[in-house]
Amino acid sequence: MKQVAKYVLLTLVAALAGFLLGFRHAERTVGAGSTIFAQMLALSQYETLANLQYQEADAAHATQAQLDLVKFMQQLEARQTIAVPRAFNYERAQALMHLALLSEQAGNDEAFQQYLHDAQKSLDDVDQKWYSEEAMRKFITVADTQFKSGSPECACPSRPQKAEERSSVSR
Amino acid sequence: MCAIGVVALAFGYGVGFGTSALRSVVESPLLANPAGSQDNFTGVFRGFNRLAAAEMAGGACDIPTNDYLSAEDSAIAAIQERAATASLNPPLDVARARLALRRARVAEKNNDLRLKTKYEEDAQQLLEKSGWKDSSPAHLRQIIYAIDSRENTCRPTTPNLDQPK
Repeated sequence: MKQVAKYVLLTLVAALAGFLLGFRHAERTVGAGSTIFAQMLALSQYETLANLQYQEADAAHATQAQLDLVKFMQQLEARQTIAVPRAFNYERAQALMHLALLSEQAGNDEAFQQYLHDAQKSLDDVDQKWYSEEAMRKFITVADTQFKSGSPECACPSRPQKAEERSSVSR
Repeated sequence: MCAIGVVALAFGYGVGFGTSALRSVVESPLLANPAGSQDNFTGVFRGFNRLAAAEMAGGACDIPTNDYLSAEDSAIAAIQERAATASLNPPLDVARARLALRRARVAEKNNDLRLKTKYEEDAQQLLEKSGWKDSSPAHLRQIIYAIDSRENTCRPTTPNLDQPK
């Protein structure tokens, strides 16, 4: 009797341990892939609509769309673990640069500086570099050109133009 | 004794892996129901998943069928339903205009010119409402062509229908 109980207990413990191992493994492989896919899909679609508004609509509608995109990203970040932080921060920097340029066009220098700073901060968080205003302008120009032409290339500021090191730039 | 332990461990592993994988599949962008989400943000998030997936399928390889377009329509409706309560206001009229233009393409394919014109007029009105400087269907068609070329693994194959005129 004692022997049977021992076997049953061993089976249960081994099965439970296996279940936990299998569950965790699938979460880290299949689950992680699914999260990346979902975040990429949702963000790319939201961005496509917001960027179309930025490029085609009047300033008021364009600003509204970009502000909304930033808000969506904030809520996403608050609720989910961002699967690819580098891509996410680059995309946020693009939206913030759009807002900076729209503020500049509206003659609102204070808002321009704030959005520019936020965009620089977003890239600083992943690249550990504080890009200059000029580099940020080139970055957004390249990104917008690629969006218009349909090129899938990354508009990373470090590739087309030289990034300035944090230490060399006074904030 | 040892063999029983190994078999039980392997069985548990299989069941655990399967359970977790099944959960991921059910919650995947293509299957998760936006309307079934508990909070409004997740509803919007899943709605955008669905919209993106339907849009990719609708724009890919010249196969915009009514199935994909209906999926796109219901995704837009699901987002609309939850967006305001999630304090979001995405430019859904642009998505509706894009959908109308895709429907115009299908109507053109079916030689239904009356319906094609109607969808194009709908698209134009939606773009005007969205503040577009050039709200002409031809301009939107050009933009959609560029986006389809970028996002899809195969290019549109029917130049008369897909290329900007």
